[in-house]
Amino acid sequence: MEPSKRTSARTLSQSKPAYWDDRVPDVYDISGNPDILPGRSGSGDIELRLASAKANLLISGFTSLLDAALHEALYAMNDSSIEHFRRFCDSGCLVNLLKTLHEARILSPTVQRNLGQLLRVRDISDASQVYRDDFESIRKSSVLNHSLAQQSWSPSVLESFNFGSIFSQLQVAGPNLMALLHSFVSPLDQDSSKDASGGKRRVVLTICALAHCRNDKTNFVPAMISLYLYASGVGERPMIMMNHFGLGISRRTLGRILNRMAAHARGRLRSLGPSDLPVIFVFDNLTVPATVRYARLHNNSEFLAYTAGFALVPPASRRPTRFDRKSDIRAERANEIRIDDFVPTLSDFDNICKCFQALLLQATRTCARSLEVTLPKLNDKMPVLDPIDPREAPEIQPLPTYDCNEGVINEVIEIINTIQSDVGLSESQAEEQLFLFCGDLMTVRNIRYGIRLGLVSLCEQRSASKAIGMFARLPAGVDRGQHGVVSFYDGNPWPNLQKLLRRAGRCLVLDEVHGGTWSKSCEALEPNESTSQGFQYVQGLF
Amino acid sequence: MCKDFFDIVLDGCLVAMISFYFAPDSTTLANLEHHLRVASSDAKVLETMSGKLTSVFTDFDGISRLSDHLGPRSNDKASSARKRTFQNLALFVQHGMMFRTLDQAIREGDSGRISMCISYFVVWFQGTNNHNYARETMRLTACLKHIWSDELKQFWKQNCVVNLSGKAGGFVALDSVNEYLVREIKAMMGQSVTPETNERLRNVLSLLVFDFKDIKRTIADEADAEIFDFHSTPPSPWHDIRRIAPLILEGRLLASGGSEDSQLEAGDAEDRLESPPLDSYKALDLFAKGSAELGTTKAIRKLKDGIGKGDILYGLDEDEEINQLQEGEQA
Repeated sequence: MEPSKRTSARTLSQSKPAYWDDRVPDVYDISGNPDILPGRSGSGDIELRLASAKANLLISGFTSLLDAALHEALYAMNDSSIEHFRRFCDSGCLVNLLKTLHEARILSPTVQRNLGQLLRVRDISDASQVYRDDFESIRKSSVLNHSLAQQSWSPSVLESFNFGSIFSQLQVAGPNLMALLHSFVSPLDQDSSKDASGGKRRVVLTICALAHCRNDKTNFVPAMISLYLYASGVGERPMIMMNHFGLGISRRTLGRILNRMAAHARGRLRSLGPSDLPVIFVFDNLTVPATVRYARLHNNSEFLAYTAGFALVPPASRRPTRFDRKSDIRAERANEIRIDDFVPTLSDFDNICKCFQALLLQATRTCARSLEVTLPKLNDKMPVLDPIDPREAPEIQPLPTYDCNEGVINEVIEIINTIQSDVGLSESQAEEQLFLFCGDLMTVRNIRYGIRLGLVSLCEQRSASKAIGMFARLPAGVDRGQHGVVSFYDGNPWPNLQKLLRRAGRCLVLDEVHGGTWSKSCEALEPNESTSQGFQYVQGLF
Repeated sequence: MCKDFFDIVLDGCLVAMISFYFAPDSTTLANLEHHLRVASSDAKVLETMSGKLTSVFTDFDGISRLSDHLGPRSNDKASSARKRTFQNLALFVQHGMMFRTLDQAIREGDSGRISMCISYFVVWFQGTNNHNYARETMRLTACLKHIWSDELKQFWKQNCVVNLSGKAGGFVALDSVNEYLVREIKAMMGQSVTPETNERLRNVLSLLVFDFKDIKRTIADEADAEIFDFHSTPPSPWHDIRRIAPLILEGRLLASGGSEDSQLEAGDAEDRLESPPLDSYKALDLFAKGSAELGTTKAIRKLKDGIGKGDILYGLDEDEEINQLQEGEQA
């Protein structure tokens, strides 16, 4: 509001007025002390001095100090006044004055709101440097600088990917900038119960995109997003687009991260052997048709046969020490096997009755629910006999996919040999320790019988050399400790076999089927008359 | 899909049995609702029903001869065919309930119940042509009861199924986990396989299948996107069951065949199971035949001989196994 021009006479008293307080000194000269800035008067007696000044101003025709200041600005601006105003503003006194008035809440609502907006604009323009500093601090914070392409992958990396936690750490690094950004996504209604996690997520993503723009290596969150997209089977082109939007990483970086993850997985697999953890191996065939668009004489579609599997490490509470072939397999107790071992016991019968009854009651309940009949509480739960704790998940380490067909017996040996080397099992461990192999019937059967029968089969097909080769590649721990049987049909493979077994330092027991004699050592393995006459079985004791 | 179909058929049979128990004269499910409403005030009625039907289906020694003791004493062709049809149904329900018990035991991770089911399967497989399963179940039983040490037995019991989700009903067999692995690796295969892509798939990406699974789950959780554990609700099987159960009842499989039986009270279901339609198919009573086969002790002696020779892992008919393997390779 423009002040009205005064019409009253202005008289200036040259002497002290009568009400002048004698306690107030005559002179307050601050011109000689340049360190004293406006608003920071070092002298006391503020109230007395202000009262004196106000009295003088009233006499001079001004309503207040502010009124006098306004009139000076409007009508009496000279160099000295400008200088005083400049100093007043530069030292923050003007803002301080406005803030004080604003915080006192003595103004009308409209003026109060306008003054508030004026102050905010003033804050931001002044604080841009503060925000830049905050951003630099955030950009360099450790939480955004997990460079997955540079560091080794571990499960803790995945655990650290938490928007709430990242937001908190960024708040510590740059509180002003985070507060500003978060204010944009905060609900206007303070009492709103709307979940704020969505807002935090967007703030973090914004910060990550900006930080990634400044430095490609600040890419923890974009890398995780790209990994997610890759794991979900998203194609390459959308990934490039995400990279250009600042929310993803480049294809090359992603490749490096995948290689590091695979290296970590391989390292973990190799550590299983020496760790003495009881491991269960599971594998199965993976067969896919490799089709061709235009079939030609030498370009036909065919099936690719691989073998995929994993090593299962049970949780800590469910794993004893590794099992021993000698003490945990009690073959001598075979004589205790009776027919009643294979007949359900009375306890089994009682339990199956309870299970059947529960199933019937479950069916009744389904039926009643569909007919909208409310049944009383029924005991339709099956008996719990030996439950496994579901909360403890096992560790599953996938094995590399082997270019072998588990349906081909001699390739089963190669699979098991490779597993042995992949998990870092030593020869002695494989020979002495016991591992469970699981899978479908074909897998189990080929592991269990395939090695021996493969030898027999090959030999019977007059492939003695192949059989000996397979014999040499018998995996430790799978068939050792058991008996391998080789039957040779005709031919004379003994020299090679002897050489091989001598090198392996293994003992052999010769069994002549027709002769019925046993117990011959490796040295005694000489071709005899019976060899050329028919079958000969060699039982290798490993 | 096959299991869903099987479950619906089994549920249809069970509902037909329940309906027949409450209303032996009814060939529809119309009266079932009334009887369930009456029974809703008294849980004992339902428990008695389930107990009586259970006693029928757990009569492992006599379920195949059950029809001999029920129904009219006539020995004409039609009567014997009806008995046979009832016997087929009873055996199907018995086998189906056993399978469902095993299925639930696996999902709930109860190795005690799994072992209990295996103790029945050992007997069942002996009388079938499934020699491999007969041998494997027998071997496993022998190992669990005698050959393996207590620690090894405990280890098997605690790890024969795994739970990857941490949920109470989330256990799966180990081979199912491997099937998931195989499925994921297949999904990562490119359209055209080159030596480079093949190598990368086998030696890099295959190792990361479960890492990818964890990444997908973590990101989904962080994004509050319910793309995991967001299973669609399966359609109620009741509409199918409601069609199947009357077929069984309307086919007079369970209905009364003679006027002299018309005054029997509910609960006398066993006495009314005698009017099946003509059917020539005869289901195999696995338990009876398996018990008989087991009684010859041939399989047990073979197993013992194998183990006695130190042939712990084998104990098999070598010639038979060679033939099977060779046939398998040729196939």
